[in-house]
Amino acid sequence: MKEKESVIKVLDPRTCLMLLIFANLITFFQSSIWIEVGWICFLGCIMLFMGQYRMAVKWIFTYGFILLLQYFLLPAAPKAITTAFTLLVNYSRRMFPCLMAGAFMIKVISLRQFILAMRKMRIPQNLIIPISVTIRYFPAIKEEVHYIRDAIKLRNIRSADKLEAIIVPLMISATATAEELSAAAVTRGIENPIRKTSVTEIKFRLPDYLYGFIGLLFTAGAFVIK
Amino acid sequence: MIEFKQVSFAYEGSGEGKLRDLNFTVKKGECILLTGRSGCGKTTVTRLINGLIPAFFPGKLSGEVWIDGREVSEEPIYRIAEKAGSVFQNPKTQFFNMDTDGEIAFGMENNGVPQTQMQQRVNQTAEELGIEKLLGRSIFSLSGGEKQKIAFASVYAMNPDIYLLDEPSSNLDEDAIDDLRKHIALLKQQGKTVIIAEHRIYYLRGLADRIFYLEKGELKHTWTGEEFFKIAMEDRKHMGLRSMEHKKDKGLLRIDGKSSGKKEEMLEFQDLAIGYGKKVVLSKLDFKAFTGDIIAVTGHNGVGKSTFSRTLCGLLKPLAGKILWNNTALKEKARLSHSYMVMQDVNYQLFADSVEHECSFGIQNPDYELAAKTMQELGLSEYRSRHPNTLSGGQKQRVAVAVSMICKKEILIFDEPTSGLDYESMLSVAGLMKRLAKMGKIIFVVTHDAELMAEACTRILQLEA
Repeated sequence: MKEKESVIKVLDPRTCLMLLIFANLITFFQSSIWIEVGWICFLGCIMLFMGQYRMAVKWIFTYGFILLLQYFLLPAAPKAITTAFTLLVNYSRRMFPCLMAGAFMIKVISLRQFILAMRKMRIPQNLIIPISVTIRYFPAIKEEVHYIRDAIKLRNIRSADKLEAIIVPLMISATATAEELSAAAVTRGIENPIRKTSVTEIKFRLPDYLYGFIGLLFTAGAFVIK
Repeated sequence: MIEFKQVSFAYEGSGEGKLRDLNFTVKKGECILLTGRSGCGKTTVTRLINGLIPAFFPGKLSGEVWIDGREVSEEPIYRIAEKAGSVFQNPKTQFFNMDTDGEIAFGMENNGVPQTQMQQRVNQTAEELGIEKLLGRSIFSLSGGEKQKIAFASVYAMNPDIYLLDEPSSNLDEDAIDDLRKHIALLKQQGKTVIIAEHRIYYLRGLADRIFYLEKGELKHTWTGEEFFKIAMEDRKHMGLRSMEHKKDKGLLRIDGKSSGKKEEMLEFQDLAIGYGKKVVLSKLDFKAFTGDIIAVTGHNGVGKSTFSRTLCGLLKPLAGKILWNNTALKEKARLSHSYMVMQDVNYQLFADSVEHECSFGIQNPDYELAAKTMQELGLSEYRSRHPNTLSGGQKQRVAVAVSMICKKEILIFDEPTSGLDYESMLSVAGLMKRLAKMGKIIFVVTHDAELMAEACTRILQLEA
């Protein structure tokens, strides 16, 4: 969230969306582990180029650890443990390409850029408004849950009642929050049908073409290399 | 020019904030203060001007509202938005972007202002409002006062003819209110029409040209600014209005002074440092508090008042130092069981479907007799079967206080309990705190409200970074 505009600007949000789609295809169609390993390294490199060092390290290490588990630790472990965990480990590893691309997208695209990208892709305005209000609502929920958890601790509520204790105030405040957010957006002309402009521009630049092309190669590889 | 012709309105399914037969005209360039008790309908008036009524808030509307020869209810909201910009009360929920530049540009983007012009306008706005250092920041890193400035800037950037401000000062500290005052003066200089719905009125002295006083949805009085600020204190209180002068907290003992209470039970802070993670927010807090104390906790927006209260009641661990209760150090868990916080937004701490259930919800071995007695004491008995959400703000606060009493908490923290309250409601909060203090509790109240401090507090803790 603290990144400077110039860093965020480097990648077009549509490229991120494309990478996410590629990641999905690769997850469901690849049968060679090398494609997957390559893809993870590729995403890791993009993160590094975008200045997301901590994120890159975190994801690559976790992936490496799961690989280690599946191919070296579990085969050597007692049979009971192996049968219990192989499935879990295998599936969590296979979800990695998608999770990593998704996490990356959430981190580097701001809501504003996402709206812009949707407009550029000619998604109708009356779909964009509810989608953006919904996305904007998530950080608000996070803030609210934080307050509610404080309130729960202050009253030392039994664990049995905890779920109810989070849901009820959240629901009640949700109505007010959604109403206030929408009122603020509406009085600043979000419904204006005029062609909207933007302070920041998004367009495909060299890195976008490059990453897009490499991503496409990986996807093709996932289908071809068996 | 804004014109109200025999306007009446009632919200769907609620008796609050309705209006009856409003007739008035506001000339271009006038600065109008709308005031009156909570629920008198002043916010409703602003919503009729920016078009949120009838398009957004359904209800029964009769009469006509005209802006510059156009009838508001006949126009789409975005057309009105070009003429009338609105700043709302809650800084948390009026943002649409995660970064300040984007937020300031948001309205212009919606109205299709060309890109080159837009960047220039964002910079110009920041310069004219003196908020250059807020540019390029994440919204989530801003304090409440800074958020309010950005909300104001985003409307200013659209350059409307009319500004509608709905309780703009309710989350601001003194300095931020000073800035708000300057910004309103700037608008007046530019010949803009400004309409402000407010409880806090002192900062509008010399700015408001006319004052509209609403009572139960009717326009009861209009004064010129000069007449209004001469009203005698007794009459002002009688109308439920807040102080017209800015009171300093003079006369209150600093926290290091002697306490008036008995010296039996006490809370002591020893060389305390507080903060989040590794970041120290405040350090070297050293003081004692005794039963019967009502201590005002003040300081600028963002100085660490909420860090202080969260540490005090055991939600946060201090970074250094000790908190003692009768000379024994208290860990977080013990502090949690000794203290309770009445939050600024009480809705977050009400969980049950009736006041009665609320008083026993989630409490281990609830004492029903005590619960009944407490409800009686706080005047909640008649609402025992009502859903807490249907109560007024003040009543909700009392429910939260009732819970703290049933849980037998000795230390109570009120977080901005009077923000947006009229005179009488403020007095009743003050009365409640005094009663609690008499029962032998230690009360901390985080507040910017000088009138409340003068009314209830015995000592003051000024937090300074």
